Amino acid sequence: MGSIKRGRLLGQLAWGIYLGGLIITLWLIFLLLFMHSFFKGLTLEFPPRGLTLENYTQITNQFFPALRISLLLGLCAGILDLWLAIPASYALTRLEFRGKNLTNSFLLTPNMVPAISLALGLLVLYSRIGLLDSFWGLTCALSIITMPYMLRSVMSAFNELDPSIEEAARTLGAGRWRTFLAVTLPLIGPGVLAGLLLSFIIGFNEFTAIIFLYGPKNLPASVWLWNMLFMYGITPQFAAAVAVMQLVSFAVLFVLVRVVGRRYLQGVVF
Amino acid sequence: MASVRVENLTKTFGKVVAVDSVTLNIPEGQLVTLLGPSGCGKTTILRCIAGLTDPEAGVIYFGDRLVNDVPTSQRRIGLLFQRLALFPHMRVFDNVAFGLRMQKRPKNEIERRVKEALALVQLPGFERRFPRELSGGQQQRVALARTLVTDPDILLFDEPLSSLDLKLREELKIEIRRLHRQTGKTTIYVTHDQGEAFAISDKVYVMHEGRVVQEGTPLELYVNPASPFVASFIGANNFVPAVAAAPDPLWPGVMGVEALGYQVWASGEDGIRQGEKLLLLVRPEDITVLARLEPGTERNTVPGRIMVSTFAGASTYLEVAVGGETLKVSVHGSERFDYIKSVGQAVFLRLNRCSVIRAGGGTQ
Repeated sequence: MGSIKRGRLLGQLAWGIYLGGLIITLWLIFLLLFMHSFFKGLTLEFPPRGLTLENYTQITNQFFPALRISLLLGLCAGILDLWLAIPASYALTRLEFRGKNLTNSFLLTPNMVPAISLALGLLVLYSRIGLLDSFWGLTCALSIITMPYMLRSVMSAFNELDPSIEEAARTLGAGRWRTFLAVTLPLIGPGVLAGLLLSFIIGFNEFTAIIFLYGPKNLPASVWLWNMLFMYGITPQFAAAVAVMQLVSFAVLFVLVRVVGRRYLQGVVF
Repeated sequence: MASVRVENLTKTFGKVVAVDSVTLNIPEGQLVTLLGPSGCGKTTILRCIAGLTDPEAGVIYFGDRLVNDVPTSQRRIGLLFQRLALFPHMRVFDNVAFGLRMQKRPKNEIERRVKEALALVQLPGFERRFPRELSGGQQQRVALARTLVTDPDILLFDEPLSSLDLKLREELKIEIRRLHRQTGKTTIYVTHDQGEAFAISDKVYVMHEGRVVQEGTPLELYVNPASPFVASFIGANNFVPAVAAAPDPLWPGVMGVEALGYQVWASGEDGIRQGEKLLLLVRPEDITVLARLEPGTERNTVPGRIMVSTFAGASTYLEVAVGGETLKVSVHGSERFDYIKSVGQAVFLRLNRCSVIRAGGGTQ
């Protein structure tokens, strides 16, 4: 009896060490940089000369405008996705038509293609029609990249919704449009919000595509970091800027999980 | 209110013919049941009547009005769904008020009618609750109130009781019948439960593989099932091979058959010729168990031996070996206590009521 109990304890311990180790390895890299954002000096040094918040105040002037652009880009790309994704998800979950599976695959896979191929395609296109260094050009690029995430969230919300609830509304005298506004939309709301926040996080952090499309008038935070890195290398200020971006992402993710709930994120983030 | 007429309704899903040229004629104010196993097309018919599924062929009339191209929202129907389909984001009041709001009724009328509807289903005072805060039976009542409150011309029920437990089902069955008496609305009820169908219906359509295989009152179906499928579906479970002998000279409609090694008298359809292969149907509840043969009880009485005895409270169920076959018998009344421990006992079975059908008759 005792040895069985001990064996089980050892097993639990082994799993704990393994999983804990995995978490530490994955997150240590983030923490390393985060730690340096509080260290004094102009280069990364260890052990530090002292702790400070100055690194954060020093970057406000140049970094915050870039951060503002990124926040707006993430938000606008998400909202643009929303208008396109709701009708598309409705069609893919509620209607029967030929080539539905194929349509499904084509709409859900663009983010599996290397972002750079999309970026170069857009570079050619934008340079012809003059959309380089424009806010809406960047928004469209991000919208293309984040669309599959939005589609997945909204589609899973539609799949969660029992069609007979919508049919009930129709039998009670609501036309299709009234049914959509009064019943469907409120019930897929959490899924839509999940898609919006997820698109936002991805759009906000996106780098690979927009590095080819940005310009001095529209300089997103991720590109700003890249430029900083080239000019000054990794500095505590750089670490502070990275930390701010991470905090924004985590804050949104936190809201996502707490407000929207896990149910709607199944298969999307978890 | 309106009668419902469905003619030659056909619907296929891919290669499966879900509904195969079905014709129904439902007079105004009747409660009619579509009875059949799952996948027999009964729900598809209901959905076509509701306008939620488009038929491939056939016409649907409400009274004199052809409704094939009328959208669901304008058919003035009430549909009670199997999965209830309450609006989870609305309180009970708003669920019930939904249909009235679609009709743009004045606010005080809506409040009054919602209150009346909730009283009718015996749920007064539940207005502020959300559906998730109610039990299954209460949710069922809210769904019923929501369906009735708009005063639809036609009521459609899609297996509304199948998800409930037995006791609740019995209760709501009676309630549905009571509501039908009260409102007198033309009602179409879909179920796979024969007991439910018989308890509430004026008329039953038995369906099998997309077709109506028999229609009639519960009594007609019970007494004269047209095929082995119908017979087994409505609960006759003793089928014995038989051969037609001579018609009874005294009783019209009654004929002698050779079954179980004896001469048995049974009711049968017209035109059965001598020597034809038949199935003898006899229900467990139509057999009397006799301890000994008494004078005057010899007709339709066969000897047998009790093989299995199961006491189930209100009745005792026996399996009795007779002439190479096994007959199921249910014993009610005070006699049920006499056969609790009776395995091995020799008894006589009197077949009080039995009928014959052609062995290959009907669809199966």
